Amino acid sequence: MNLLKLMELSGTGLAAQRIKINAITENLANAETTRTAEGGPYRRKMVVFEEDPFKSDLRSSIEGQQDVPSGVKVSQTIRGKDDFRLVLNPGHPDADPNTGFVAMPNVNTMTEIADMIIARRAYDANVTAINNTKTLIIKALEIGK
Amino acid sequence: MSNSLIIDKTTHFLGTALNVNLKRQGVINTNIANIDTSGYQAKDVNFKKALDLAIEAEAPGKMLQTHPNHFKLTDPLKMSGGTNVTGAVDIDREMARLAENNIQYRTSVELLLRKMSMIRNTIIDGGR
Repeated sequence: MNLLKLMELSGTGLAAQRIKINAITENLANAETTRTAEGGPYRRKMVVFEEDPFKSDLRSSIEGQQDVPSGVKVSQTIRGKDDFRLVLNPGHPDADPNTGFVAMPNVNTMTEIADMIIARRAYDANVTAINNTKTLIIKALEIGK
Repeated sequence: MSNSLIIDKTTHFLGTALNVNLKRQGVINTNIANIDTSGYQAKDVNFKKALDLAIEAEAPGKMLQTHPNHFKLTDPLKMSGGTNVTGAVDIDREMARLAENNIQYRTSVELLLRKMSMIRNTIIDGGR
């Protein structure tokens, strides 16, 4: 039961990293989007992670111990506050009529790719942890064979 | 602690060691899951210290169950003590700890298995 719980824990890590990768993919897809439902160019999405203690069972919520293992969850998705990229393109329909500059999304492709590699690495690390826990379970099953 | 010849001190000790390894696995998995959580501080279990505390908790003379033959249910993941904060999460360090913990766990299981095979040999050869 406990080892399975540990796999569940690493699973929350996988889910969180997947949400991060989804947000990055969305940013890359919308790197040139100048029209959104909220108006104005697209603002880059970022996810914020939060520690999520495993206190679902009654005993640990009564005892409230510090040592309980915890997973991770996405506490919120925020929009990047940095300024839009200004590109001179007077022919663009969304260009400023006076200056000719178009406000492009605040998505930096290089940053997004770097973030994606980091998220992937973290995802891989969680997969390694799951595989490791799995070998422990298989080894424990040999007791009493 | 049982005085039986088969389930003896060694078996108990190895069982406790497995529980401590399980607890450590939980701590390492927590660190890896929270690798991107801002402000999270990585933790580690001092194996020796945690094992000492766990054995002490099981020492005779302590009132842990109403009858000595009752099973005591301890949740290894909630054993307290022996945990210390080690600062920011370092993925390489966590991977090394994961491997170390895995080997320790396997070693304890292997010792248990050999203990069992010793008993089995005694039973089989004794009957010859």
